[in-house]
Amino acid sequence: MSNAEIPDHPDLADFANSDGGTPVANAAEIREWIRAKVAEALGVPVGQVDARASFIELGVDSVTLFSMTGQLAEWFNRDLPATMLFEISSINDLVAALTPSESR
Amino acid sequence: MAFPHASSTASQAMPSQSPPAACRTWIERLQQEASKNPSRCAFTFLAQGEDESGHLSYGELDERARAIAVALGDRIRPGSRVLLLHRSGLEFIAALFGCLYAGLIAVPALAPRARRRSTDRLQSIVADACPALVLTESATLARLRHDFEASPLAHLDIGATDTIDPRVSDRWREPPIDGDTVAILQYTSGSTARPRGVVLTHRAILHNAEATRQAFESAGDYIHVGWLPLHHDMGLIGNVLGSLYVGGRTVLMPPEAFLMKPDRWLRAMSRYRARSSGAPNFAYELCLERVSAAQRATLDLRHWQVAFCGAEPVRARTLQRFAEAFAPCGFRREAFYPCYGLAEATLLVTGGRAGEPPVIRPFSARALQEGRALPVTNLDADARELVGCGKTWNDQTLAIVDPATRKVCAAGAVGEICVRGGSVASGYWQKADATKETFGLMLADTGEGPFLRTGDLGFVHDGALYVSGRIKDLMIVAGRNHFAEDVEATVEQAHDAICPHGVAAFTVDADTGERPVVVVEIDRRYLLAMCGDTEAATTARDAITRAIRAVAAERHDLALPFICYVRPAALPRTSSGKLQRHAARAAYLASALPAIDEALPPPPDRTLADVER
Repeated sequence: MSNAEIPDHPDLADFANSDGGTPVANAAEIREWIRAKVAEALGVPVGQVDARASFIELGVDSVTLFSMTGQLAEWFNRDLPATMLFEISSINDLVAALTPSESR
Repeated sequence: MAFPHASSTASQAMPSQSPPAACRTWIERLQQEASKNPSRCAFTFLAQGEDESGHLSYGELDERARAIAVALGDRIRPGSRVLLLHRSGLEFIAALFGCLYAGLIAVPALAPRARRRSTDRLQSIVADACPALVLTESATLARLRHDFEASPLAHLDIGATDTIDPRVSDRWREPPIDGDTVAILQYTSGSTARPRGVVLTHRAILHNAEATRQAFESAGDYIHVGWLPLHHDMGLIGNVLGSLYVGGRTVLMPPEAFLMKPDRWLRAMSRYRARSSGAPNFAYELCLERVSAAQRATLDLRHWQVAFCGAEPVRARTLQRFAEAFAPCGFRREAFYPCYGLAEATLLVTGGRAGEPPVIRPFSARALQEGRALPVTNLDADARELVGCGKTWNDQTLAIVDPATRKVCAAGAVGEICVRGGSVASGYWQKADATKETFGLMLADTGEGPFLRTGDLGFVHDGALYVSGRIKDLMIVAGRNHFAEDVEATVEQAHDAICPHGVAAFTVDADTGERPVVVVEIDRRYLLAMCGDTEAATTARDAITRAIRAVAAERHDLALPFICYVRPAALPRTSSGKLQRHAARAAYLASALPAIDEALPPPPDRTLADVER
């Protein structure tokens, strides 16, 4: 199993430390990280994770969703509502919500 | 690593470990504590898992309970059920005791977490328990009312407990209840199709709290930490009532605070120098996966003396890895406290002696399959390491019974784990037949009974219980119970291509936990389209897979990585057409099912074990 702890992920560490703490959010990177997490939880290839679908449509359970929310919060170093991933209607929408508008 | 107080030792002054004064009800127990030490902090809440957001002293809890009881008593009759849909927090505890103080039956349950989440499970609990009232906190009230508006739950009368005037507490009069009064209906083990509320009297819960006190050697000057859901037996009985029984202090956080950042659990242990805390196996795995080396360096876990692990099978590998990984923080392997229990026995059934290291022993897997416990010395392919779950406490009795003959098994034989004693629940709420079947076992040879049939398989070796399998069709994933028939009924309706009654759901063992599997029979009309290696066939399979996964997540909060498609009538059935789940599972593990696709992953026991090694 890939053990993608955020602090150990080189790209994400770069991201978090870049530019004196101002995150340079790369939407594609965030999207791929989320898709990889979902793929890992479901045991499917990343290619099968449709970023237009919600997490419930994809079949992800709440333990995984809370865990992902916590990892995203650590990565972005900000508080995220615990049920954010339950409410959001697609992976794409989540990426948009997490990405500062200028870097989209 | 260096500890802030390197010279101090982990052992604390030995407190008095005698049982609290005799009491018949939880009203008496709380009032004894409240009059003895009203300002003593009973509960501290960390709403975000970090900073303290609230406290409840024994005196305050008693006062809140009296006020809530007065308000409830004005509206409903004693013996009525009250559904508690609070978020995890202090208000839930006040409401629980408010119900008990009014002679009402508390029914703790989980409110839907977010909009659009299914209320199926709640509906089935409501239909079974027929609550006279639903209670929550004012912050959740509007959302629940809105959620229920267009649902079969619209008729429910919902109120908030936190807006009840505490001054009415003076009007409280103790209700005429005793130890036999029903206190709680616990739906932890209920299925959607056949909800079963475990009936817990004051006496049974007090008995189990005393068993837990003896087993954990707990006392009032200890601190306990918990994050498990409070509607769940381990969270409610273990964390809230177990600690309150001894007059201890409990630090709680909501489950999502832990799941989001697992280090919060360990940080609370460290910060409060808590003596006891525990969770199902998956939580220890989550800590191994998510708590970084930098976070570990700040933890002091020397005071953790009872790290209980139960509610799902305890994995030897998890205990070993956790003990190793957190040894530098002062975590001691002997703190691990593997235990066995279930809602039907209130909670705890067996556990070892606090302070003794967990017993992990290899047994022959082949012999276990044949129903014998054969200890082995070589850790070869046939060895299966099992974790000993100790003995019974507080005068309870364990029997390993052959389910076919209802006689006690010979020493060293595997049989159904059966329990007798004061912690065993009275039965399932208004289910006479199911109650008789599960709670009424009389041993055929000695006539002894009645015993609770746990549906779990195990054996006793060197005085310790080992759980080795399961007869009941229960899937335990991340500490939560799912009934196979519920999952099957849901999956069956996910797509037209699935044969009616053509789904088998079960779990298979992986190193770190159970993995759910569903085997799905595909209707003849769709068979041709789904077979083969073509793009069209893959697309057809993917569509069905997506439909199944979505509905399992929505209705059961269950992720289904392993879905296996087979031809019609490929699942083993009895001559009368009844699905044989255990045979289906065995065939799946032996790769003996006529699968119509090769695209999905092989059985998880192989994949996961291979990948992790």
